[in-house]
Amino acid sequence: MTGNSESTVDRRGRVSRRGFVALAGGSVGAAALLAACGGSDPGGEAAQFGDGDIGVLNYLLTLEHLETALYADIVKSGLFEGSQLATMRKFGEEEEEHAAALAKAAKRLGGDPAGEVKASFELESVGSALSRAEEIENLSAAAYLGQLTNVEHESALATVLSIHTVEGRHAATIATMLGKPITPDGAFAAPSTVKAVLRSAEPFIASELP
Amino acid sequence: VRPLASPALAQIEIAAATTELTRGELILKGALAAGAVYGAAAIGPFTRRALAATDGGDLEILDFLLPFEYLQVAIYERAADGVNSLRQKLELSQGQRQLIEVAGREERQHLGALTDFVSRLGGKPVAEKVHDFFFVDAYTFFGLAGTLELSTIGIYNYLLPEMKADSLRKLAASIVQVEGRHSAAIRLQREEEPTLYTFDSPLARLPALNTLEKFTP
Repeated sequence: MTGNSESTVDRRGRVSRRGFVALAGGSVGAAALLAACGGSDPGGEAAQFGDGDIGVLNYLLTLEHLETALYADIVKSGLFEGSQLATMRKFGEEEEEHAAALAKAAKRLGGDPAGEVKASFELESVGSALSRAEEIENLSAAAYLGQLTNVEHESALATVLSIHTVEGRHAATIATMLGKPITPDGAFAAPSTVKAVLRSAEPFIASELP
Repeated sequence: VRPLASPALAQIEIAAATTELTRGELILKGALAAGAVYGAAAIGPFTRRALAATDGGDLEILDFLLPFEYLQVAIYERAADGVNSLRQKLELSQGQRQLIEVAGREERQHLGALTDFVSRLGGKPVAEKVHDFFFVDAYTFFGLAGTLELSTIGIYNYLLPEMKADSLRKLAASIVQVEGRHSAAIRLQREEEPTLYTFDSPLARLPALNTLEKFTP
């Protein structure tokens, strides 16, 4: 992303949000764009995880580690059986593969992938475990959405895009299991900032974050 | 910027549009300079045209995406009629009817946001084509809807990196996540895995057009 938020066209020739809205002379699909444009991190809040794309990848990798830990705990809890257990196991495997892909992408850019996180979840019943999983999946989907316009390298963007919708799939599946709406934000998914995501995730993370 | 003559974009048209970008940026600079000289009042239509020229690629991308949103709106509206392609009653559970209603409503909102974006860029939204869906029951209906949702995710993921305006990227990203959620819920109706693959791959223009052609006789 451009480091100069005042410019109208960034160095890749893309029109900035501020420039676009100003030049278009008003709202652009007002409600839709307010939902879509809010909450991203133009200032690069993921910098605590590394520079540029490496920081974004490591931030998302940290969340994948959290999700992997959650599903591992759910599978071990003995609360689930049958098709629900199979789904939890599958989602855990998929989160592990996402983590591996993000780590590979970070290495490709010359970065050190973020290490695993120690996590703790209170899983007392099927309902509480599913609610926790839904919360973390929605958080993750919003985190990916918040970073999609911050990624510079094409290969890193392709990786992030390919995972983003799968997190949405996971969230919708668990919402279906709970009998809750599959699209909690409505027709336009809402992004979250790094700060908001970490604030929500921190209660479950027992290890130090960067 | 004139609206594209053909919504079914060929690669050669895409390449031609890409060469417009530099010219568009120059026009934009001219517009801003004109605004500086003649005052803010001069900027309106001049800048709108210039911005559309800068985003010539975005207009083309929007033209490519719109038929997918038209199709999705149409398929859910078609199922909401409550009859199959043989004009027999379509048996749906309450949950399935609810899913069709929600997905249809959200696809209409996607369509509205994209057509609004086209208009704001100074373009004219491509017209809707005639659609044809053949399904006999809930299983075959959700099969068609699932194919369409999956292709839509693929084409958004393919085109998103090509989008010039950050505001369009953000809008498209917020839409594609919702398409992913629809896709999972629809696959569950057929007792399929909600994730076909661990990663949602991009779908290039030509295979995406093949999907469109299946539904547009």
